[in-house]
Amino acid sequence: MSEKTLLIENLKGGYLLGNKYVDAVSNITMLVKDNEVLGIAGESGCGKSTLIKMIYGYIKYPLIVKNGKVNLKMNNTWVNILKLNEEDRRKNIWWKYISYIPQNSLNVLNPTSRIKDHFAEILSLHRGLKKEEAYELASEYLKEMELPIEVLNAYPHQLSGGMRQRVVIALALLLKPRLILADEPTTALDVIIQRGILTLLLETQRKLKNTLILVTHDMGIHAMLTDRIAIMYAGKIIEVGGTKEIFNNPLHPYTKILIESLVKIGEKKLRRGIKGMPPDLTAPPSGCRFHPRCPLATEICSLKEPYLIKASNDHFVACHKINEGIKL
Amino acid sequence: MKKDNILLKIDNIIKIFKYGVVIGKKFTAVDSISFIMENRPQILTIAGESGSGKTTLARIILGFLQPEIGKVIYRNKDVYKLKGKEKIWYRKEVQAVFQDPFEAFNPMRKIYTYLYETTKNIVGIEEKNDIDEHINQTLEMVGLSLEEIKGKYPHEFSGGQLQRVAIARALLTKPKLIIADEPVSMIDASLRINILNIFKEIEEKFSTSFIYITHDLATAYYISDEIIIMYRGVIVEKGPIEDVMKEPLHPYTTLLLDSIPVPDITYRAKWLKASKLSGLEIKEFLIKGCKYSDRCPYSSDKCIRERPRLIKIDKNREVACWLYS
Repeated sequence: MSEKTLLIENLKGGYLLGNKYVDAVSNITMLVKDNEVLGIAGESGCGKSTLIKMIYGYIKYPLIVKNGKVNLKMNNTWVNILKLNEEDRRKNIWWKYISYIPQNSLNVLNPTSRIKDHFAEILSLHRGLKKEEAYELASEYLKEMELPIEVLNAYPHQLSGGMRQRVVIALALLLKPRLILADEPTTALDVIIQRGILTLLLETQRKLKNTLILVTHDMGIHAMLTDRIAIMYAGKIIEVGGTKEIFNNPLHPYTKILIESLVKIGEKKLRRGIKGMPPDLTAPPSGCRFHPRCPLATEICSLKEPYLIKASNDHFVACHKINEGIKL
Repeated sequence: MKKDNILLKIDNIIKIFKYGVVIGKKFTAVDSISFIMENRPQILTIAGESGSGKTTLARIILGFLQPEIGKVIYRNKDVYKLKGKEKIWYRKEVQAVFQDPFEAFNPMRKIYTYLYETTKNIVGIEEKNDIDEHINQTLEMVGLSLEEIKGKYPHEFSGGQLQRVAIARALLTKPKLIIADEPVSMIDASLRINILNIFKEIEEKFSTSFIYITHDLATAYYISDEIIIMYRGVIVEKGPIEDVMKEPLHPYTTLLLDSIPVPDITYRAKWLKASKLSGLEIKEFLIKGCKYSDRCPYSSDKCIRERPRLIKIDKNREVACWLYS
């Protein structure tokens, strides 16, 4: 059995907006293994980006954590990242154990410093390298990452969006972290560049045998890249399973309708989407949060929250009806 | 083709943008584009990635952006020579739907006032009751009603709902042509299909044609009949969508199709065999020959030197590539 690298326990948090609270991550428990690509799927506002920020331990007001743990395995001991202070995370966790690749690379790159100085900063903080040594290592490393050496002297704004994102990925992988969190890393890019970047990310993950958590709304990317998928809806994980299993045998009514609504090239068959709108997370529905839109819903669904229950090997679903054996 | 059979004729359009404050540089965003839309209900896709010039072309067709060279002829009239009443006529006949519905509406104004003004000023209905009836009927086409929107501001709608309102607004004038520029790219997948189904329904029921501008070939295939593929300001390929998707002619179209992540794991092995990313991108806009020549696996000297023209391959298909001429 593969080793575990991350254990999220009963994690709850969200945003304070005036006197309202947006329950974006609502009591999530999840195990993440070594050497896997875990996809987190869901539509806008389902809490997937918030979950990633909380796993990274980047908690900035109005984001708050109400309860729960994010346990990361470091040298065979479990450390709750949320218990550390930010200074600790910056010095000992970020870049070294966990790296974060956001959608917009400009959030990570400093516009006033050259790319080579971004490398130098990380290498001096974590490896104690001098500038010249760092530059040399960086140019060696860029060759490995198939990036042209010329980017080292460029400022971030001088590079195209695709090239910038490749630089951010190279920085994120520099210290060979055990866990990479990528939040819609290629959403703003063209499909041809997207494909090149994602395949590179996967190749590197396979080489380092670490863990990649890939957040994207694009089910096509999940199908092309991930080993397992967790489906989020309104702050909850409602289904987790192997990627093949999720696509071929989706169980939760939401997952099922979502997958059926996807158009593929070469198909003109009339498809239907989901009725209604995702709920307002300042006042989420009672019981199962999908019940107001669910074709299978009965009384119990509005009264009692369903928990993730094992449906088959490595496939879990949170639905009263499916667990009763009713199928959509 | 007889003139009356032509709805829209795009005739050798060139649009040049200048950039750089001190040293005046320029690039051709839309480069010698011509095509014809026949006067029958249809959905034509103009597909391309960012920087392909598809949105610029849309704005030119809508009359928002005058090209340096070339003409937009709509039902035998030059769009940039319309005067007075003819301009209102064109507004009525050709409508637009944009990517971000929240940008299309002023957040401080109620949605209803937009629908009211369009009905009154462009459709020309006078009576308040008649206006409301017209608005309600139109909203029903997109699965909404007057009651649901009255008194509400844009932020009270979700993106998907507001986009439906934007479509309804476009439909108020009973247009013959709707230009929809990335109308579903900000909408979640599970709701996206509902909007696309509305387009199909409108085409069938009201004989309205669409120009669907998108980077997403899967949705293009789902709703359209014909496709134009653009790359860096030029048309590289044109034809019936089934033929183009099943048997692409231009090497760029082939790569684009192969690169799309498909929500079907049987495509995975093939998709993961991506070719290496190129080095620093050079200014493809400035290339003299084929704009794709520096990335194309079949590129020859001729491709770099000389621009291939769009030529007919058979009755329906056209391609701009030296491999075919």
